[in-house]
Amino acid sequence: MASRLSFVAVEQRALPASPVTAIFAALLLSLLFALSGCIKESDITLEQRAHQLAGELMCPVCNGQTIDGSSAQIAVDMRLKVRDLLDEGSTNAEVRDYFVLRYGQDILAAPERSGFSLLAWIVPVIIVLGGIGIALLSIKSMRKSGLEAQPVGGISAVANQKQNDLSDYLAQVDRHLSVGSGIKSDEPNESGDAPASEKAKS
Amino acid sequence: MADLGVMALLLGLALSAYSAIGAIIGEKIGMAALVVSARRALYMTTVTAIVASGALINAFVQNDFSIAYVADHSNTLMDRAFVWVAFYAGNEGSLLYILLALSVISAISVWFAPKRLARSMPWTIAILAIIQLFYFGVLAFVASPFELLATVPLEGRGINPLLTPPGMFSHPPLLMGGLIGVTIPFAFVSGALIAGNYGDDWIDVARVSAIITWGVLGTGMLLGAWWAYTILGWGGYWAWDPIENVALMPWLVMTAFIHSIMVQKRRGMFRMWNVALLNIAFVLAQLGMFINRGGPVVSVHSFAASTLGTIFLLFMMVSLVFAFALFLWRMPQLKSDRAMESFVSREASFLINNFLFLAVMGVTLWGVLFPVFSDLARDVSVSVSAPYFDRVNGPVLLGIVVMMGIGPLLPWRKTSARSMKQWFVWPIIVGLITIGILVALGIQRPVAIFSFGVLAFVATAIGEEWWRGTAARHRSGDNWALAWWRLVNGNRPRHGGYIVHISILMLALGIIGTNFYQQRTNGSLALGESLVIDSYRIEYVDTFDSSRPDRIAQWAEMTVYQIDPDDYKQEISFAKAQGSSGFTLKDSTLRPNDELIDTIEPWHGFYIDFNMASVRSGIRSTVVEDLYVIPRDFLADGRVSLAVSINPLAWWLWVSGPFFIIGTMVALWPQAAVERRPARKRLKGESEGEL
Amino acid sequence: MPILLGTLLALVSVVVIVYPFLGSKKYRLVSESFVTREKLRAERLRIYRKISDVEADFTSGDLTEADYQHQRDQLRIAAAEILKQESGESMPNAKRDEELEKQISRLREQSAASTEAPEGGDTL
Repeated sequence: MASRLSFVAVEQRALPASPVTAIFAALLLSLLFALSGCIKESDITLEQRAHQLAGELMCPVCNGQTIDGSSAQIAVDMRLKVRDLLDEGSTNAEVRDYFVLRYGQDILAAPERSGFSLLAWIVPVIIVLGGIGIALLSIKSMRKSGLEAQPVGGISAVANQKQNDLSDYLAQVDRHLSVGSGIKSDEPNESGDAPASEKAKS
Repeated sequence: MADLGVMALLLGLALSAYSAIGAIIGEKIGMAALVVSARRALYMTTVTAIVASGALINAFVQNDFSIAYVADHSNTLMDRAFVWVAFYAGNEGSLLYILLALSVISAISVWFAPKRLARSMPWTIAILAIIQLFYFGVLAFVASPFELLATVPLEGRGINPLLTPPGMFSHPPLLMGGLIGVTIPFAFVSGALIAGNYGDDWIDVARVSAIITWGVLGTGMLLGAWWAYTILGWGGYWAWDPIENVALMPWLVMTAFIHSIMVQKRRGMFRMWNVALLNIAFVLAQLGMFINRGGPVVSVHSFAASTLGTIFLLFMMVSLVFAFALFLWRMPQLKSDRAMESFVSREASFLINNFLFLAVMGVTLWGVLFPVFSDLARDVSVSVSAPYFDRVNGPVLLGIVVMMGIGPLLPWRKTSARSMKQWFVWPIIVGLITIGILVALGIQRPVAIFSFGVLAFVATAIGEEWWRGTAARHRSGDNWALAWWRLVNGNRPRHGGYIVHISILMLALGIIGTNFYQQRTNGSLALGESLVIDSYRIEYVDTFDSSRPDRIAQWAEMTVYQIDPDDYKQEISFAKAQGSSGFTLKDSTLRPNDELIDTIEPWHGFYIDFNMASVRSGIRSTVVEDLYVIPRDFLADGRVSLAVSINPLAWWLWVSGPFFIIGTMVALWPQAAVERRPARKRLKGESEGEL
Repeated sequence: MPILLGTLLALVSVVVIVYPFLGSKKYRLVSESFVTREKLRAERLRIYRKISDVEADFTSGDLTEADYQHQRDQLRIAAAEILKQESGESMPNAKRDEELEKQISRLREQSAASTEAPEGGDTL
């Protein structure tokens, strides 16, 4: 996104490119910065891992809750099982597989990233990238059509002419603008009135 | 009373049908009296909806168990205050509530509609009447709350225990009201389009009604989250449950709308886009109603589940076809000829922000529908829940927060390089410093640290925006407070928006804190024993019974001590070796540095008739973190089994609520047409210093 | 009793919706010129709001002096033109309304266009 933006901007006029690039460069830099500060893997306990896994497994008897949040008996048993498996040295993937084997795919709170379920993960990427793409394209096309349609030059001459024609009304406008309270009473009385079609009685 | 209710519903049905037909025919043949009559019929539907609701509420008050709905959702033991909750506790009652809300806001908005919309009003009235007609029809013939029982039971079933916490007086009504409220801006804009009123005449009505709806829906969701956190004891506040998602989606689209409507207001652009956004929001609200009423997905919010799925699906389809047929029909007239002058302008940033909101909406919709899709396509059921949504929506939401910092600093139209550099230099510096400090402190989780940096960036950007405006006014002689007040007053929509942005930052702070840094442990305690997690020691000191005929319930009294980990070195290393985050202590002797800081009283109740447990968490909340104790169960041997967590920054989630509401009100507050004093004279001298 | 109340409600409803057809009061659809005047006024007030927004932008340093003066003048002229229309809008007839409609849409474009900068307006 950053490169695209700056690319187009460069095309148009050299100036705006640098700050935009700077913003995104700063964002990127700060991300790297943040990453670099945290090289050491956090020492999460087995219990934390068990909680994390519990959040990824659905409770088979509750509507749409994970076993982490449910207090149903089966959820309690499953949580214990997760912990047992971890104590035996299973990896997270092995624990997930264990439950998928017994309960089927829908025990996982998020679809797998393979086979048909991969669709679940790919479509969002397409939606997001497509959305940003459409946004940028439409800005670009709005810019183009606008540049062609824009009447350039001569505005001020016309304006001067008009200014002379309208001097009385301009004075009135300036009066409205300078007396805020005067305007207030002139505001559309949109509230409290009876509906329009009933007002216009002959 | 059941008879009165039924009669009122049937009357409402007839009135709304008459109103729709009368408005259209009256407009077509130019018969003013018929249009006026149709309008009054619409007002009368409100009266009938109020009478029907009154009849149902009265039946609850009088414990009229001959009505099935009353017998199902209350009993004589129920506190009378809960009549209001019982009113919408089930499918039929909540439909009646929705109809009540819709008819009241329809009447109000039609009454206050500006006169310049007179020519499109018949169409607006017809659309509102048709939607009411649908609800009257469903209530009268398919899901009547006034269904009578063959044999009158002596006692009702009672109210769903999950609906008895105080939050339930406002969360469901706000949420349902917000969802149905989307109808109002939709009806006004559609009416204007049908009547061929393509200009900006509908802009104020649509904007005001959209912001009100959006604020109500947002407040409803936040209250729901708060309720889940403090009451349900899920340990969380947002589960990406389908029902939550279908409320979130229209809200996201409305958020996009209330941003892009500002572009139309100021620059006359995006007219077509704004109409499309309202259409999408309306259809999504209908989708929400459909999924609420027995849609094809499983949810924890099964209060209003029913078999009305097909009807609501049909109605959603009709809405979809109508909205987009109308849109396509009138699209050529909506095109704006205003030019977008730069990628680096506020209107461009609004457009990008709009697409990001729509992207989150689209992704969420995809996640909600994927299980259905998978079922249909290959007959394998899958679940799509929080881990999925966190992963796919997290980055986009962070992108939206980034735009929140960039967009407001960009001026309209186009900008020049020097000023931009000036504007962004401080936010970027503060953001980087924040990240640097967090890294230096040894805080982990890079993604979260980066996000904190983004929050600091945005906060600085808003601060800078206020600083610049305030300073400019201060230089012209106002004192600081007055200068800031004048600044906010000068453009309330914009500065109210900033206040809402601040509330979103607070919300984001809480979300990042609780998602990335939560610590949890489980344990069971006998009286006198303690559980230690992080720097807290929780001692179970007392318990008392609060059972009633309908429930087995117990309070636990626990004292919370702040500890010095050095006192517990041995236990901590032992627990770590075992892979636990916490540990229990058998003896109640205190260590030298233990300091009593709080007493909490978690509660656990089991409702026999409903076979349902309900809890109140014990929470010690501070600005930095919450100590959060859920009593999972009181065991037979006198022990209490606990789930304990430390939720960093959770406090900020709930503080954001008042800011959200205040900001929305500031943005909505009607403003005088111009400032008191002419800015021109005042400013000439100082512009150089500013630029 | 409930039946009685229900019947009463039905009667009231009938009276309310039949009333516009009865009596001496005759309703007619809102006249074009009335709507046009309302639209003109609303349009003018929207322009006033835009002017105050432009002023606020300038005060906060979002606009250069030249840009600000130019935009403000354009908006003032647009408002003045509408005022002129409004004062001319006293004797409604269909043809005139049609013409006014056209003028409004032209003015609307103009008021939006007036936030365009003069050539080389970026003096920074």
